[in-house]
Amino acid sequence: MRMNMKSNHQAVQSKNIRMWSRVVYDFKRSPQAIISLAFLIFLVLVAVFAPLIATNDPINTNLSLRLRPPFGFDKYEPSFFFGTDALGRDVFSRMVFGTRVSLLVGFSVVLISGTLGTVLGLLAGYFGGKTDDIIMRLADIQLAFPFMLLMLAVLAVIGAGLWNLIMVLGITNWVSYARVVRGQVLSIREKEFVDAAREIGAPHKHIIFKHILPNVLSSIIVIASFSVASAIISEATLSFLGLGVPASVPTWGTILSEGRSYITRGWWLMILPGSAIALTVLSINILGDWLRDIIDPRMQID
Amino acid sequence: MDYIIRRLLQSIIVVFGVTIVSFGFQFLSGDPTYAIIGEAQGMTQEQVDAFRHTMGFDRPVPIQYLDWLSKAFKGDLGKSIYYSKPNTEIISQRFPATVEIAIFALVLSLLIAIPLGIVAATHRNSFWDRISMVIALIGQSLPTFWVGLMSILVFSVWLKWLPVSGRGTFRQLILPSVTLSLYPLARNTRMIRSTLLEVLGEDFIRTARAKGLKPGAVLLRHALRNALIPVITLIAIDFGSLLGGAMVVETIFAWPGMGTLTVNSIFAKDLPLVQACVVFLAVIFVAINFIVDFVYVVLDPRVRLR
Repeated sequence: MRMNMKSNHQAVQSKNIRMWSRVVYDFKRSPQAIISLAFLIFLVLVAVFAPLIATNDPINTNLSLRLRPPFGFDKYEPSFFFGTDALGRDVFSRMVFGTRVSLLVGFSVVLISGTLGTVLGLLAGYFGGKTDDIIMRLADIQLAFPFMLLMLAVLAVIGAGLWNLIMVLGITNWVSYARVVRGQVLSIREKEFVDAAREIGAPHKHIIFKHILPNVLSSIIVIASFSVASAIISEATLSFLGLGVPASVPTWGTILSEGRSYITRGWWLMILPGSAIALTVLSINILGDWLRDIIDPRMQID
Repeated sequence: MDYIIRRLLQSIIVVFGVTIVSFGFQFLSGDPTYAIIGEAQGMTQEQVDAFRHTMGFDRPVPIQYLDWLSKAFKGDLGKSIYYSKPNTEIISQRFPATVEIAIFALVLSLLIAIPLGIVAATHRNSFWDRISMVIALIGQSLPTFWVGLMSILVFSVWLKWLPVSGRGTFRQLILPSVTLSLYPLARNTRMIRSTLLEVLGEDFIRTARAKGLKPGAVLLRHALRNALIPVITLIAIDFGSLLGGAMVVETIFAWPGMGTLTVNSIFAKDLPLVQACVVFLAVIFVAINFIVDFVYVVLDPRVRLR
């Protein structure tokens, strides 16, 4: 029995290795995926080396340099590549530092919501019955609220701020993980290697995390990639509405929020940070789509 | 019938949960009194206590909840602090504007998504298929609020074709509803394409083709009828999420609907009104979902057997 389970387990592992080697193989043949990944690596580097890349202090105001246009336009101020905002701050440097916030929010939210959603999905799928009922009703309740509305209402009570934002986004984004993981666990728990593990008396915790989790990991990665994108959009939207990151912190959302009043005189304050968000999200979604096509084309997210 | 009853019970549980969350969020920071009046600068302790008493926050929380719930059942969602009017009255004035923009956006997205999805699925890997996938990808990647801002910049500021904001004329409806339609357009195109592709691969389609039916008839009579059933669910869910998701678009275009109402009441710290808006939109969403399930049973006999 033990032998049998062991070999089953190995079969699953080698299936995983085969899958990942196919991922690498397909990746080399997909130009969109390569460009997207390159762009995201570039962003990570920008975020890490922000102080070295920024040409000016992102917070320093200079009222004699208000609303200067970007490089190549009339009245351009040297070293202020992307122009200046209404307080004369350097838009380029603010965007460089804004990269940090966007990526930090994207990854922290996915870490929190991915862990929460995966654990709840595993529990619901594995134990079924009452546990499943309770978790799925919680998911229904969560989904009944218009997402932005709930975020705004909660942030209005607990106060805006980077960590509050990350916590609230992290806690409210678990449903898509839980639903997909639960669906897959329902079929995996009927497989022989799970039966075998149960027969020899392996504890539930061992079966769930050692036998079932490795088999749902690839789907979790696909959902995670899409939810990094949606977390970045949510942060920008909430900061734009004034309930995300405080306006003093340079982020892509706060630049847009402050630039909104100068839409007639400072078009670059709209176009540049907005394009940064759009390109980042687009790259992540292209990678996510590509990953989903390889791993499970029939997977339904959202 | 069992299925409908089970779904009804589930919906009731969900509505119950929704009321708990809608009521409970104001206690996240402890005493909601301070969430409303801020740090109470310039207010004496007596004034704060008096305010707490008029709002009923000095009672035990379960009592407050049951009182609020029983009133909500009778159609009384409390009174707004800012407008000093009943919340239901304010909501009933604002809700039609949101329904208007949501319906427009939904119809617009379907007018494009359905034909595009069908062409993409029937002519796989063609030019139109690629276009549909690009639209789906871009539509799901662009942040709605940025699309709104850019459309103001391009169509109102630069080209001066359309008004920046407000409600009343048809021209004022165009920018907000087009902006709002972008996301459902992208999602529906993708969804219609993939469900239709799935149906086209099934045995009964092959049978229909094998017996010599024309491709158009196969598509209309056999494929579409089956592929559009899941799309109905999607339309209803879209409508529900558009009602709530219009918030950002409404704020940008100063559209006087539920969205601007909620955002403004959040900034005015008018918690009773925020609470009323949240529970109102969420209950509508649950109701729409339940009705969809009901329609589903009527349209697709297979569901009844589950």
